[in-house]
Amino acid sequence: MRWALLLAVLAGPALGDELKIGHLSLTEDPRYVQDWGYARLIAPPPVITADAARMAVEDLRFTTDAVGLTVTLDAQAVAAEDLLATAQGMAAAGDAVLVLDLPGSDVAAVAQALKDQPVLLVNATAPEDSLRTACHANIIHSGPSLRQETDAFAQYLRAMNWENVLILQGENPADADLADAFVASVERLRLTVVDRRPFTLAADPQSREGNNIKLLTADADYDVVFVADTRGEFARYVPYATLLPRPVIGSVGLTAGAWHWALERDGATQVSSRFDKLTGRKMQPADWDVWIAVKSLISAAVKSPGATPPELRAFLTSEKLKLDGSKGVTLNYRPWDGQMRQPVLLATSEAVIAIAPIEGFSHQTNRLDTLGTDEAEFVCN
Amino acid sequence: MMRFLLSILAALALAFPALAKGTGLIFVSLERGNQVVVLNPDLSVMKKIDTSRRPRDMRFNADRTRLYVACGDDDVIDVIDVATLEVVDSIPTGPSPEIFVFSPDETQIFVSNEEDSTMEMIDVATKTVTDRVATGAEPEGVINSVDGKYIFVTSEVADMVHVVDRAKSAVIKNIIVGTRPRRFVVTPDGAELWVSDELSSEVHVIDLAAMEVKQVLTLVPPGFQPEDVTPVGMAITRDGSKVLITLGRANHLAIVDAKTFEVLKYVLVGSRAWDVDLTSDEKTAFVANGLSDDITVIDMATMAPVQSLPVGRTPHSIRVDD
Repeated sequence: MRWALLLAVLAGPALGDELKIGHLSLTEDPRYVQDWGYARLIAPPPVITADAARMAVEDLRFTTDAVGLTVTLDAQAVAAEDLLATAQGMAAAGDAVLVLDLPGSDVAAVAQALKDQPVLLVNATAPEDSLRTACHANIIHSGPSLRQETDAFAQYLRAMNWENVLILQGENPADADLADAFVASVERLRLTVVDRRPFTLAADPQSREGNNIKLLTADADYDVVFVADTRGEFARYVPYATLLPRPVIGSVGLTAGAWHWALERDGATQVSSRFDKLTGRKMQPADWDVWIAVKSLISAAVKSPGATPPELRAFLTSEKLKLDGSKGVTLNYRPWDGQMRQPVLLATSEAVIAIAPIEGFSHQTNRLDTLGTDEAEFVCN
Repeated sequence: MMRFLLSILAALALAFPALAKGTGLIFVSLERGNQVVVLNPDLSVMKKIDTSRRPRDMRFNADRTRLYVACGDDDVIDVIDVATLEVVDSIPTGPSPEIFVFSPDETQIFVSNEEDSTMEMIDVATKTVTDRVATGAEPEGVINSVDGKYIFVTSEVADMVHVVDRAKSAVIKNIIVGTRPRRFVVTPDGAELWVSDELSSEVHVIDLAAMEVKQVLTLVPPGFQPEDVTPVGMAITRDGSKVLITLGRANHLAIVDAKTFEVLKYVLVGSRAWDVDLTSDEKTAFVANGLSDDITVIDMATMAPVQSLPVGRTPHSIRVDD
């Protein structure tokens, strides 16, 4: 039925254009290992974001058919040791854009390996700010940066007048990155870090200063506890266990992310239920990151037919891109760091509590630039 | 078109007072309240009618004896008897009906089903679906051309207006517009189709003879940034001189000169202003404010808000029967 109608629509002059989108992920991405998923609110089944890429292609099929643009998706999940060879192979096979669902260090490696190839890379799910300040000319970032997420927290704390924060930080380098980003956000809004305390998963009594939550949260006066624990094994035990009765945010409790299944405004329900129908699971933030990456690429290709990868990047990072990510605001990528401007959701396991930018935070050009590194403070490393 | 028919009927009503007479009542659908609130002309609450879940768009039949209400969470269009103010019937639809219209001859209903990306054609007499037309994802606005040959449907995801040939039940053309197109008005002379683009702060005006975009209006009230402006609902005066456009999160109604495309006035209303309707004398406009749970009453002579009135949870659509 649908196809018959589409054929009728296609009768118009076709541009004969083609967009080959690659999707590259790891068969065993440490970020999606079930054992480390403790803090994830509903322990998700293995996240396979290629599903989200497929959904974006389907969502826009009517549009691409109408303008005669053929979109193909080349999704590859590989072992870590085959990553660079596969990326090279996809570029050689004619993929004009590669959407990467990879840990940050792998994103940097792929960007370096393909820097002389005519391929635009979209880092969908690695949040490290160091990837933004590396200023790879061939890459843009669709998922929120750590700094966008921590700025969302800081705005919320400022709005709630929760000024004094105790930070508990884990042993992984990613935990330090998260805590660093949070401290930068907190300083910008002149909130106070009461203390920054390392915790450990070691259970021996000699480590009790670092593994006993009551001791970790004693001898300080704070309004809120921020837990930086990207694996979540420790974080999940912190709420309701602090010495002072205070809310817990960060890696558990109130968390920040690009998407939440409970978002129900601005067409979000329809996106989540389409995803549910397609995959039988709830849409995770990483899925949204990939979905919006593919959607942005197709939208740009529709509106600038025949563009080369650098031209595509120029379009995506301009005001000409007016992208709907079902978060109520037009989205595009920032020209200075290639980061997608976007609202960040602050949510518990059940509900979206607030959406940043929080009401009252203003900006001279675009309110979304109150989240993440703004142009004036951005420096390439 | 509906309004045009209503105006003919209003004229008939003057000639034959017994035929049809507006009750003066104002109907507001409450998306979260699962009710349609009925207000007296003096704005006091007359009745709250329980409906199926998530009532949204509403349409009168031509003689205004029935009010039809699309209920998104129960997949039906409820039918309210305007005389008794009771739900007397319901018409099954596909999943999540949102916006609908009657065909000009009132034999069919055209309804957008946002969950399964179709526009359904429902036979009113038999209450059965006679055809489904595939659309881009998240179809929303539906309207007839004045001659009834075409139905226009927006797809919020595909950023386009589908032109559906009624006789063929098929899309014959797609017109790319702004980001997240939502609702329509057709000018009374049938020459123009106006489309609100929620996320690009625009209204596209399509020349219906050429089926091409002829004008793009950008609506940004003073002091707002474009991304805060989300145009959705529209109404047009019977003489086609003015178009009223709600600006969603920008909490304003734009009143636009339909000939020069100039904004005559930005009127302050409630939070997430969506639907708008005019009284038949066009002296008053009503705006439904989805996030402040109220309606704003606007005096059209001064183009100023005169009153806000709480009505219940998440007002979606507003219709005046006068």
